[in-house]
Amino acid sequence: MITDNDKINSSELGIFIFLAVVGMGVLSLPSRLNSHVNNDAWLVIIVAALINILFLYIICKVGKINQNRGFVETLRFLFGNILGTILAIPVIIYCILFMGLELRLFGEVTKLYLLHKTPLEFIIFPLIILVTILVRKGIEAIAHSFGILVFIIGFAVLALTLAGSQNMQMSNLRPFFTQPLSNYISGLMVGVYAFSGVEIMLIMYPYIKKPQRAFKAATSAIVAVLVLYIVITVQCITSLGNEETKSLVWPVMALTKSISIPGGFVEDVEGLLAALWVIYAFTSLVSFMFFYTVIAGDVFKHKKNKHFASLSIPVLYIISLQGSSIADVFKLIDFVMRYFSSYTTFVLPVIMLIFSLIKGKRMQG
Amino acid sequence: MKSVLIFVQNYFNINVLALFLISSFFLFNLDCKEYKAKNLKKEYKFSMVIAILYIVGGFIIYGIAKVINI
Repeated sequence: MITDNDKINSSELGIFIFLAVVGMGVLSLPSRLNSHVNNDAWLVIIVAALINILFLYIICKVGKINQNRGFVETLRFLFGNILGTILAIPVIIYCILFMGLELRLFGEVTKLYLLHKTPLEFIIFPLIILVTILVRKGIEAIAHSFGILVFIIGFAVLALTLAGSQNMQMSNLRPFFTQPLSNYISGLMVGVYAFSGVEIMLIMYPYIKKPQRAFKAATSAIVAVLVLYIVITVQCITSLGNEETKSLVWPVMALTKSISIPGGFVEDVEGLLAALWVIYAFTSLVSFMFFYTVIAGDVFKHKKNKHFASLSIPVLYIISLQGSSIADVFKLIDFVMRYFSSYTTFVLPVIMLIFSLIKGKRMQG
Repeated sequence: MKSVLIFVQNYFNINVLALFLISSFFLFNLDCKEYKAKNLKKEYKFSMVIAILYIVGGFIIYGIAKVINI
């Protein structure tokens, strides 16, 4: 059940999508891309963003055609009750796995750079509770809190970026296009999945005040993410060099080590940046938990869905502890992205669009 | 079966039990009360069942994790 005060405007939607896409993964993005395509990483990101915008267009098209129906309701309308529900279940699994692994990345980074002696469990524990509390308040509360957070972290990241620009050597970006085609394809896969969060648009249409502006707002968000990713990747390559960027797990954090603020009024820039990324992890988790609660509520045909946030707490915690090392966690992330994210972002919207068009023509006939 | 028991032994510690209890606290004290007040019977029943399941199941699985030795 969506009431009038459960709706957001297009600028809030843009911020929502931006903060859903940017998560902990960006800290390791330059390294993961460089291992495939070396210094062409930033070019691959541009192509990956264009691919995501294309699929965003498909998602928005599906949303426009089925504007008055929710995501699961649309699936049921297109494929029937049973098949429609079955098709929605992998999306729920994807959200839960994504949140669990995002929590783990958050825990690892926080432990490494901020809370060295605190056990991983006690770093993850409070974040799950905080995320649950905010999601239970509904989309308006989420959108308002995101509106405040985006400016705080945006300003701080911009300031740190400018401070880090003094060590850049632009010659590190050359030569272009020296890798074999297969490397660009595998790098593109990494780049495309770095924009995970776009799929949240699948459920957003019933919550938007002016749905006709949704695509524009979401595309602006993707462009903002693209700029952020390019700035970070270029800074890593030009400041650290190709080989070092490739060899580091968290090159963005290593980059901050080389930053010195003029006047020296901030001593531990690394800690400050780690604290900022905590907010990105929080917003990304909130977006995905909201995504999950809406779909789970629709699958069970419940009018309210906040209890799904409450009941996911222990499940998320157990998933976040999977994998004995950070390498295992990245393997799990690759698995989730390859199968579940591909299904949710690329396969399902295309199938939904084809069936929406067929059904629309049949109904006209 | 053995892999399930190993999983239970590895992951069901006091922290997980605490999270099961916190989760049921949210379900019992916040969700169930709200749904009852709003006369949302289906949601109320669902939340109640899950809350009870989490409390009972949490203690049972924690007990099993303590007792088994693999």
